[in-house]
Amino acid sequence: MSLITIEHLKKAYPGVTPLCDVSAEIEKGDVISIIGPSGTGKSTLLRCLNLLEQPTSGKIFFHGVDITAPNCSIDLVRRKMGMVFQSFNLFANLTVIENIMVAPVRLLGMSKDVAFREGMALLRRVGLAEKADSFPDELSGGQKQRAAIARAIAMKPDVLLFDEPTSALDPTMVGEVLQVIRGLANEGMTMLIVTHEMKFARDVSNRVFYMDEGGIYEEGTPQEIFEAPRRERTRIFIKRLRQLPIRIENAEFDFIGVSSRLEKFGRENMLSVRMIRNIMLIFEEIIMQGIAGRDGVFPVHVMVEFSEADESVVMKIDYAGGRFDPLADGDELSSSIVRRLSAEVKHSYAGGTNRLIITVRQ
Amino acid sequence: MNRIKKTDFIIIAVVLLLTAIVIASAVVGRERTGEGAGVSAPDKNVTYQDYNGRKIGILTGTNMEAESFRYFPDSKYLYFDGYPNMNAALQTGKIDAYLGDEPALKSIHAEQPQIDYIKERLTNNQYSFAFRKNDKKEKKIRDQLNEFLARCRKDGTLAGIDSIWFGADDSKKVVDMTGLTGENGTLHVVTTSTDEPFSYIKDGKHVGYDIDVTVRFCRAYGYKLQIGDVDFAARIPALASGKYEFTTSMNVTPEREEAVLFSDPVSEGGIVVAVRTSDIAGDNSAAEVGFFEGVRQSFVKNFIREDRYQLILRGIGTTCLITLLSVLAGSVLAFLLCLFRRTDSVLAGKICVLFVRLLQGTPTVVLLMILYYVVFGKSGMGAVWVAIIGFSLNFAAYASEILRSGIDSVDGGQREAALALGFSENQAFFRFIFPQAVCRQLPVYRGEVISLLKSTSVVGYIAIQDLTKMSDIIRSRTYEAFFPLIATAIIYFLLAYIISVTLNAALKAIDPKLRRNRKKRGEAK
Repeated sequence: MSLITIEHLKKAYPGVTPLCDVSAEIEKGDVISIIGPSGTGKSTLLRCLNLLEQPTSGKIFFHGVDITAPNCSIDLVRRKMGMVFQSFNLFANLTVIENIMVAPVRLLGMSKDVAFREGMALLRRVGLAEKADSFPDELSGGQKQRAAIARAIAMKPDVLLFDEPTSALDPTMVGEVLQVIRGLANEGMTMLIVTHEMKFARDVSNRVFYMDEGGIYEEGTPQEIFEAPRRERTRIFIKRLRQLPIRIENAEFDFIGVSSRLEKFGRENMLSVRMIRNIMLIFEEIIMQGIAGRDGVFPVHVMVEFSEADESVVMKIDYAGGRFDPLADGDELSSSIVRRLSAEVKHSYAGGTNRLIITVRQ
Repeated sequence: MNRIKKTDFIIIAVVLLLTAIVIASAVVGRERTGEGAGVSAPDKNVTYQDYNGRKIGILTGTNMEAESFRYFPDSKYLYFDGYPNMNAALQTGKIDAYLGDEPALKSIHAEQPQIDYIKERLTNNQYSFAFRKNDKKEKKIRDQLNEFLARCRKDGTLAGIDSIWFGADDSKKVVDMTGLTGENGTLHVVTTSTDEPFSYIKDGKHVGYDIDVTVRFCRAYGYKLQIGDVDFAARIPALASGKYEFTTSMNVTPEREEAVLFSDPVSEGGIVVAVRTSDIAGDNSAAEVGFFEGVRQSFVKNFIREDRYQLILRGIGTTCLITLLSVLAGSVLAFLLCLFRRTDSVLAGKICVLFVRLLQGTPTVVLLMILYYVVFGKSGMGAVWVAIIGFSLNFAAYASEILRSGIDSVDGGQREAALALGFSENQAFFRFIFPQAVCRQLPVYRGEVISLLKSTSVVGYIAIQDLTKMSDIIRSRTYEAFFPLIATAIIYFLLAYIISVTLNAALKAIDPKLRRNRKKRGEAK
């Protein structure tokens, strides 16, 4: 039996539906990173799991019990589902140690002595023992978030939900918080982490949910999602791609117009002048000197992709008209120019379509 | 610690300053009063015509207004709610004359020789007790009173009473309150206790000509007596509310006869013009009295004589009782209002908002009078309780807004964090949100409590003798404005200071930071 089972979860607000239909199984010991562009329902999904948001429809089972059922005592369920918020939400009227002790003492009936000992042990673990008697507003952001994590695990939950735990932090403090989460993962804690820290997600999790289009768009291991995303939107997101599609209908197309579009695309993505020149030159040599003069190649599709992740530019050129590799079979001068300007050129031919993939030299 | 000491210094400085003002004002007062000066008979030939065109004081709610317009058509008029204020105004030159009843002015002149009156009567007047109109029971009592008056006039009793209260022998001026058996019920009489010699407070008791007549009447007809005390202007509304059967002496005028039912005349007199003695006497040199002797005399006169300090103590008691109970009940009510507004019910929320807006938009005095004379008009509920209800409602309206803004100011994340840990909505509210809201809003709340303390000074309007009213009563006997007023101000200031200190201590007890710092200091030791 899975720890958490989500069945056809839907959450609609007036005018916007962040979650259309989400189903998933979460096993004990899973560390799941939930990634995706903003506004795709990552936080909403997390907040539906402990019913801070009431789902519009669908079911959520926790230990096999339907927690969306009206007779389910959600307060008891939440004790076993810890949550860490983007804005920490430590109780401002309590000291750090009191923040950690309050729920075990009040809700689990733990004695104050035991709660204090366990609380101090937790604080030592997150490196905050000396801040036990401080108030939240006397801590830095990173310290607050570590205290909030200690508070959540003081209840010995079966699963921890992290809602963008480092998004409100100064970049210098992100590391200390991730370190604590990493430690929890190593101890086998089941966790769902909504995050924008891709490297962290890749290192720490065993599963990744990429969310888009109202649901879990693609799911897989970190290797699958980060190295070989199967679906287009995932790829665009992971590589942080900027794309410029160009469609050429015939040989008399507006070359000047297309050139200026290429230049504009380059400037918008802050490419170097040299890089922009290279892109324009390759375009000119391949299309004007190589392909455009041949019969039956139109329409030609050109896709210029800039990846923010590795700062590379790839040009993909698709055209018809029988097998033709302009670098091997075309004009010698053009070929040598293109070779000089590119890091890698690949040609393939399948189903009557030529595909040329050129990685532009930096 | 340094901070606390600094505040203490400021407080001591303020108290010393105020004391200096009191002493200085007492001296000024004395110089103007000139007590003990043998004022000779008026030797300037002054008539009331000389005062036409000058500033005239009018006692609100009396027929002196119409008379003033008649005799001083070219004058400027200022309105006062009792003799004490008018005398103070006359002494300080804010007005130059006012119209008053001759017996009252006799008493005033005896106590305060630098106020005198022009002996020529403007009109001869009859003073009668007034009853509510169109009420069988009250008509019966009126008839009994007329019968009683006729008998007393015949056998000379009335003349005897007259000689006591208009005479000079102060020791005789006592009302025998015994023998009120009450087999025929209780009479509720409303009077104005700043109207010597008709009705005033002496040794902490209601006395005076009217009171004496009333008590004797009650004794003869088997009634018990309850006396209410309001300003002149509030007497007829008080009568109309049904809380009282009749009111003590009023001038009989045709206009009033339309509104009330008058008895036969209880006493007779006339309207005279009160003026400064210096305006009509040839020589008004005051006997020189030493500075400290002057202060001592003033103090003795205002607070020691007739045990007047007891009036002040009783007034403080009443003021504190009303403030304390109103704050307690009002805070509880405010809390309930807040809970109602937190529920999902739209109706409950709207009702609460309406309640708050309504009370915030009503002056406290008006609210009190509505409660006393209209809502609880016939219930016989004590005025102090009506005041507590009124101030509780008023305080609740403000305190609930304070509390609500405090609750709103607590970040919503606090609630979510509590829920996520497994606390219920109610636990989240009471354990985390409410304490933070209280901590943040306590300073504003403290201001509101002090403001309530001060606003209780209007309860005189509904016949309650609080601190302010008691100082009015003392002023009406001693005719000295400065000592009683400044003393009252200082007492209010000290009460406010006590409230402030108490609530600060409460804040220290609940504010987590101050709590922790104290703990740390304790550990350091």
